[in-house]
Amino acid sequence: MRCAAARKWISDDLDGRLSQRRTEALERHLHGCEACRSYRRDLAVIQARTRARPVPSLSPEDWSRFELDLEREIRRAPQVVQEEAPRIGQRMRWAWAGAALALLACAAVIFVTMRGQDGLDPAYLTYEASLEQIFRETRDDPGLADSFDQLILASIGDAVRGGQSDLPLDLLANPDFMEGWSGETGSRVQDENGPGAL
Amino acid sequence: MSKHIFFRSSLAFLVILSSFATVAAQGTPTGPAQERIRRNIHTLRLLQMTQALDLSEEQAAKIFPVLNRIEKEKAELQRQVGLAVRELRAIIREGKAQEERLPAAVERVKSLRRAILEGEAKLEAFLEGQLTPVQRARYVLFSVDFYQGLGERLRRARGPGR
Amino acid sequence: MDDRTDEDLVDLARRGGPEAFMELVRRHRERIFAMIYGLTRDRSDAEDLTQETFLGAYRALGRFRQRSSFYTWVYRIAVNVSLNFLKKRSREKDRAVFDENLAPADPAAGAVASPEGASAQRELEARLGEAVEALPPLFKAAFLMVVNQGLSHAEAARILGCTENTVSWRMHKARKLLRARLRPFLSEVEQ
Repeated sequence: MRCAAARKWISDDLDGRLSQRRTEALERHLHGCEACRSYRRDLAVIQARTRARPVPSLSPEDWSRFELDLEREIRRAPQVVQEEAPRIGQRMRWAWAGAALALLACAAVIFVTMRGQDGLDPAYLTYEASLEQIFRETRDDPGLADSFDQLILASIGDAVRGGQSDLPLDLLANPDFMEGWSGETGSRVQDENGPGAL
Repeated sequence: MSKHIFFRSSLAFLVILSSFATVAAQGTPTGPAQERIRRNIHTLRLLQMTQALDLSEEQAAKIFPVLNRIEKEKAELQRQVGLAVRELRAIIREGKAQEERLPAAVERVKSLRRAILEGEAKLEAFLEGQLTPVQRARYVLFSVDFYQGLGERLRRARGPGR
Repeated sequence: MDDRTDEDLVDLARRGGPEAFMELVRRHRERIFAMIYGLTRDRSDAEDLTQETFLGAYRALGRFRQRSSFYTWVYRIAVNVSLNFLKKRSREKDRAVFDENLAPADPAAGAVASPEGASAQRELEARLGEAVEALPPLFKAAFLMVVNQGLSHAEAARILGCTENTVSWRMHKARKLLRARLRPFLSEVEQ
C-alpha cells in the first residue's frame, strides 16, 4: 500500500469510517512504516487538541439581550406564511412543459441532422460550438480575450484555493494531468498551492 | 423542482440550437490567445467536473489523462480547421482562377470537422464507461451549467456597453 | 419545562407565533453559537451571525418542509451564513495562502508573544488555533463539524450539501494541511 493511500485511510479511521478489512490492511502497512506511524500520532494529537479547545458561551445577561434584539427583529419581519406545496396538477404542468420543450429540441436535432450532416450526434457539437462563439468574439477583440481569460483563471484559482474541487493535490504532480495546462494556469495553481504542488 | 426541469430543458434546447448556428458557420481561425483560453477552459472544466460528479481519486486518475489527450488532439484539429477555412476563403476570393481547388479544400474542412466530432464522441463514450449511472446524469447537468457559466463570463468580460 | 416537540413549535411559529419560535431559539442557540464561533473565532462576529441565522430561519420558515429536523435545518443555515461571512472577510483582507509545502512556521518566532517558560503544550494550542483559522473555509467547516461538533460524515454532508465522499476527502486534506503547518510544535510536544 502506498503511503498516500494509507494516510487517507488514517484520516478515515480517526472518524470511524474504516472497514475491518481496511483497518487490518492499514495496520500491516503501519507495522513497517515509521513515517506513517508518525503521521497517525500527529493527527491524533491534533484531533485531541482541537476537541479540547474551549468554546466561550454568552453570559445569561448576554443571552437575554440577544433574545430581546432577535424578538424585536422578528416582530418587525413580515408574518410567516406557510407556502402551500404546489398541487400535483400545477407541478406536472411545468414538467410537461419541460418535456414538450425537450421533445422539440430532439425534433430540431433530428431535422437538422437529416439535412446532410455526417450522421454523428449533433449534441457532441455543444462543447466545441460553445468554444466557437468565444473564439469568434475574442479573435476580433484582444481586450475581450484578455478579460475573459482572466475570469477563467480566477475561477480556476477559486476552485483550487477554496477547496471546492476535490482534485487531489497529488494528481497535480501527474504529468498527464498537467499536460493540458498552459504555463499561466500552472503558475496560478502553483501560487495557490506552493512550489511542491507541481 | 419541476420549474428547474423546465428551465434546464429550455437551456439545453437553446444550447443545442445555438450549436447549429455555429456549425452552419465555418470554423474560426484560432491564435495564441484562443489556444490559451481553450486550455484554461479545459482545466476549469476538469476541476469543476471533479466536484460536480464527485469523482473519486481513482476515477480522476483514469479519466484526466485520457481527457487531456483527446482535448489536445481536438485543439490541434481546431487549429487545422482554422487554417483550412482561411485557405478556403482565399480560394473563393480568387474566383474562377482557383475553382478546381475548391472540392479538395471543402473536403478538408469537412473531414477535420468530422474528426473533431469523432473526438467528442470518443470522449463521451470513454466517460460512459468510467462513470456510474448517477454520475452520467450529473455530467449532463454539469455540461449545461458549465456552458451557461462560460456564457456568463463572456457577458461579464464584455462589460457594459460592449 | 416546555415539553412541546420542535415540530409542534415550528407549526405554531408558522401560524404567527413568535413566542414559539423564540422557544426554538432558546433550545438551539448554544450549539449554533458554538459552531459559528468555531468557524469565526470571534465572539462578537459569532453573536451577530447567530442572530442573522435565526432571523433568516424565521423568514424562511414558510418554506421549511420538515424533511429534516429543525436543528439540522438551522445548522445548515448557520454554516452557510458563516461561510459567506468568512469568504467576505478573506476578500477584504490579505490572507497568506495556506500552503502545505511552505516551510513550517518557525517555532522561535511567534505571532503570539509567549512568556518565558511557556510550555510546548500552550504553544501548540496557540498555533493550532491559527492553523485551523487559516484553513480554506470549506475544509474548516467540515473539519470543525466532524471533530468539534462530533457530526458523522453523513450528517456533515447533508448540512454542507455535498456527498460523504467529499466530506471524507476534505477531512483528509484539512488534516494534511494542519499537520504540515504544526510539525515543529507537534515534535516538541512529543519530546
